Amino acid sequence: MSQRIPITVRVNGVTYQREVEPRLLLSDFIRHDLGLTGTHVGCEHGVCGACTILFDGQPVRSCLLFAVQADGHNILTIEGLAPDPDHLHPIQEAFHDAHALQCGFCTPGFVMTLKPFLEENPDPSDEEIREAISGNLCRCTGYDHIVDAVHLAADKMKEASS
Amino acid sequence: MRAVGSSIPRFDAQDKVTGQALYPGDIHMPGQLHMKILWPDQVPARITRFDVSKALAAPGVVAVLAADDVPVNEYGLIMPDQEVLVGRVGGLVRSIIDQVALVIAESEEQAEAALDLIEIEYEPLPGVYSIEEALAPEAPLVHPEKGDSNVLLSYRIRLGDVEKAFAEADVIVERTYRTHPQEHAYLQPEAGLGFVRPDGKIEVIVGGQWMHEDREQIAHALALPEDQIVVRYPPIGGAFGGREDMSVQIVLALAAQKTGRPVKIQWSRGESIRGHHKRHAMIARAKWAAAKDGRLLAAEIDVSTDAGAYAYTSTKVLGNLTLACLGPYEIPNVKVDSRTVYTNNIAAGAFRGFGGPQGHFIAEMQMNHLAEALGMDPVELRMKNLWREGSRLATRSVLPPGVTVRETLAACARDAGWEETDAGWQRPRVEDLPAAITPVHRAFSLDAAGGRKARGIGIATSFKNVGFSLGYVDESWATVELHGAGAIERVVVHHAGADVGQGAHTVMRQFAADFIGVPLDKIELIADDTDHTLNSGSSSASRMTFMAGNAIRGAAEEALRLWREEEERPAIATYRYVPRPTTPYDPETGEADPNIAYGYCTQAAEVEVDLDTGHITVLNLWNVTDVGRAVNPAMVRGQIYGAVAQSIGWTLLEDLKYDRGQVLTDRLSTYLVPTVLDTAIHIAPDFLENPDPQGPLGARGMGEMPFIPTAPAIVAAVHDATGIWFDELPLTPERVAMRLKEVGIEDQD
Amino acid sequence: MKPPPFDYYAPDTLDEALALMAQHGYGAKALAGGQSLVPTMNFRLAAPSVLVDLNRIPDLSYIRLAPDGGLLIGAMTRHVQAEKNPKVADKHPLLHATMPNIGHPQIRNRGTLGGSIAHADPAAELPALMRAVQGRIKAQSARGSRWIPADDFFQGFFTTALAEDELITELHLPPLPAGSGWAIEEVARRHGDFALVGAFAILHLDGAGRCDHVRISLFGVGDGPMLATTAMGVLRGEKLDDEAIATAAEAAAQKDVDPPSDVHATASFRRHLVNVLVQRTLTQALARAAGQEVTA
Repeated sequence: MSQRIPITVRVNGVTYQREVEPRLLLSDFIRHDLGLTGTHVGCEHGVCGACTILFDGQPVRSCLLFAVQADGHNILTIEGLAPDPDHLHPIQEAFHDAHALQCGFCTPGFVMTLKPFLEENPDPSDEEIREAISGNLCRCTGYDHIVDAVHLAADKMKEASS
Repeated sequence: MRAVGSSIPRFDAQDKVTGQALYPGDIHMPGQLHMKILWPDQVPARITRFDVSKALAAPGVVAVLAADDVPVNEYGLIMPDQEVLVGRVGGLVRSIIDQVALVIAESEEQAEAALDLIEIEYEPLPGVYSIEEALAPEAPLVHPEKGDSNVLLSYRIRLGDVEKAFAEADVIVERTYRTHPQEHAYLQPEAGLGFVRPDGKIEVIVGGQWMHEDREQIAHALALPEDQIVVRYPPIGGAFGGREDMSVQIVLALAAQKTGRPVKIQWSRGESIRGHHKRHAMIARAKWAAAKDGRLLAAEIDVSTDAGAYAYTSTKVLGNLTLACLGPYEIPNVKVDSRTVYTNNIAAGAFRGFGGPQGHFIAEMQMNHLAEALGMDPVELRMKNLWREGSRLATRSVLPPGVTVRETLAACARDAGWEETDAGWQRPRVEDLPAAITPVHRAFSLDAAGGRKARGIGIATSFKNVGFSLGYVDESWATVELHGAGAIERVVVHHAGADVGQGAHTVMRQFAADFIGVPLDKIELIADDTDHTLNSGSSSASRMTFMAGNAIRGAAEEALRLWREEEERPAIATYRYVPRPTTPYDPETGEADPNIAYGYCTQAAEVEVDLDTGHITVLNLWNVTDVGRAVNPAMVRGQIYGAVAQSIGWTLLEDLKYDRGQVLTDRLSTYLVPTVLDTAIHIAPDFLENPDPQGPLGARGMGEMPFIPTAPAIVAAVHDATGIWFDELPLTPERVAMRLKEVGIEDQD
Repeated sequence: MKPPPFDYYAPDTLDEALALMAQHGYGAKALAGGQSLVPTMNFRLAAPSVLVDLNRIPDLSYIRLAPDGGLLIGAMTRHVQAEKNPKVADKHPLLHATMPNIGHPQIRNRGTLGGSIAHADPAAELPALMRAVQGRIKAQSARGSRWIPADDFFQGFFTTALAEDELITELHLPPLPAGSGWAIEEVARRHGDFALVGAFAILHLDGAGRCDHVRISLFGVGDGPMLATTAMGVLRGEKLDDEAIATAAEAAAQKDVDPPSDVHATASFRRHLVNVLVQRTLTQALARAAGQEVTA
């Protein structure tokens, strides 16, 4: 019988206690054990960025972490981003309004990557935006509407904080 | 406000930005089993030993299924030339796309562990891994049961007398072109769930492009009536043609039937790359002739594509390519010989453009070379020969009305800095260029980084058919229900067209709102289930807006008539839209009325070439597509941006590599999809709206068109920058740098 | 796809970690950022029986000034911390210029400098940087600690001088010689990917304008980071001009490397790129040594 390790993880503000096999990837833990399927898996080795989550506030690939490493840490996934069920986060609003998605499979990874980016860079240039999202693959949009949406989101976030 | 013409957000955007959208891999059922596929590791090969008893006895394993478990062990979209499962003694593995056997267990780990317990031995067979090898005399046959050649299908077009034209021509250009396979790399790998419903029907939840066709193929393999199968499409993570053929559909239904329990499957990226078809590799020899004044006199083309091990849609792609390789030009003398050949590579099939990109690489590269040989501006040369209203195709039929390829070329050329002068079209010259456009023939020099760079500009145009071709009776069904008492309070639209991410379901709602005259929020669309819809055809061939729009219009008009004249409550009408008929190629002459309608697209590219590393940066990409009517302008621009990024990927970056039938690039770290930093720096996603008389509110199809002219436009720009023609894709840094090193760089000034 | 099973330990102190490494020896792997190790485990190309997770050990993440004016960097310092650290920008412009070349933002948020050095990917930037700057790697075990010069540390394809029970705890990057010029250039097929070929150059001129110090370190061209020793010999003691640089670049390409072929590039293209990049980095480094602003 393989080792099972108890962990306590805070995900989207909810504390979960689970026992996990060490080899369980954090992406699989989030998707299968917690049922939060908005975190998507597209490549299993850290290239596509679809599984990006916030780990103590930092965007990271959840397919390159083991669930056991999340013990005691704070995780935010796409499901926890909106302030409440009736309101979207400004980045979500901007992606919605600016047609920054087609099939939408990559969208949660982009949105999670952008949250800390826009908090640190309230007025980013096109170049900074492109660098920030260069670790996320999208096969549908050609990225241009995503870049537009980031500008729109920056405006919305500034508005909200003024 | 009218819905059509408005850039309303996609109706599914809310679910997709919140992570609530459930893709095929996100849907589970209590008590579900997990399935893994045994893939072959030798190709081609004969299976000499096959024993599943140990796997069957492994912990948690519920079933191991192989060839003998499939009631009718064959399938194929165009022809059933592939076995669902090849696992049996004597079974033939033709390609790594073959599925050998299925292991179904209580957990994914158990299923995976049991795969290793299947005892299998192979006898290697001689294979063919390229078009040339497949066509060589005495070549091993991929399908020995199909006769003595690897040629799956060939076409020919004969018009006029090319030999006479060549004898009289002022200029002849003869070149060989090669293009490479492309992987769809949609972000969502194949997944799905199959189960037996309480009513006894087998339901499969999966991503695809044509749910009624999926249902038909599942029913065929399981020897069940179609009404015993239900296919449902949840949100689908991209398709681009790559989900047009079966992947997990049949095996999910089979596993559910055999075990009586829900069965889940999730492919890895590696399985996705080996397990579905690719864009066709192509090799072509083209000889075109022109008069001094630029009039095209003759075109002779011999072109072959690599179909891989199974037909998939190769015959249909070949049909399109056979026409596309002539470009949108009036050519009085034509000789085309085309064929698609079986090899032991992964099967090839539908991919955005469907033969159009390969065909136009031939045609537009020939025009590029001819312009140079004639000393004529490339726009001017094209303008002299482009189709007009009433032009005849090489297949002798008259083009359907709405021929606007010239308009796209003129608009795009102007955007990119061309001018129409008394002496004809003239490419931008350094002194005339607007500031936004980089000097074309700037002398290259050592810059701060020590890199020598050169810039250049190029242009190419194209056409693409809308809808199924060459005699196929295309159809699209829609049902419209009008509910309410006095006024229409609620509208229910049934249409089976798949939304693979392109936004078809948003477009359908926009059409329905305007045809019925109600606000969008009154429209409810049922589109995800074969039990509640009728055949819509595939989300492919740039046809869904055109076909669904016409079908919904027909159903809406009849429902409104019933509502008003018969006062039926609810008023329900079902309508089958059938576009004008097309005809197949005549086997000898190629005579045909091949297509329902066409869309047109021109692009210009400005590139910068690093003359030492060979790296190409696309600085500007100007696109002009005639979309007839932009139902949702933002979504139209989204299709243009997306197509261009994919096409730049195909042209510069993506390079699917094989070694004797094994794919060497089966990860996203080795198969290189462009990031945001690898596409064009600036794309101008412009479009025209010249209505297509057959289109719903004038709309033409447009999803594939902006893929097609990108490659020849970029190659022309690279030639402009370096003086070197590249007749083979992709333009990897290695190919470019080593060729530049070999031949040196012409002094452009 | 799932990694093969392993036992997992997450020690809270370095001593505990070293004890675990000593206890498990071969088969145990240290887990730092995991950005290279976990993919190889996901593909089952690596199957360690024990993982010792270093992420809970405090005090392994820091960037300090070294007595020699260079930097001492804790092994668990994440790439992003070095990328954004003002001390790095100020004291070690070459390290500062190198960081954005490593992977993508998400990778840099998690990946560590020590992990990258220990992994010793022949196409990675940091191992080659360590050789370029003549850095040292501090290896620690329950038996004690030692400093290993970078030139001795990288021993072959994903192979280092670390013993089975040793962990990297600290990196020492000496300062660049005062007045020296430096450069990094790399070519990848796709932005953010591992380089096909990359090059570091550092050079210094004496009062007479002759080269009295030069280091050219290459990555992506062999089974580890490589010095272009022939090319360095061509330049040492010479007045540097375009011709000398071209000669050195040609020597680097023809004599110093025997590059591999793979799905991304052939050996002959890599050789060509060595020539191009050595030329470019030397040209930039020379300009910087002459006090010119260089925008790469």
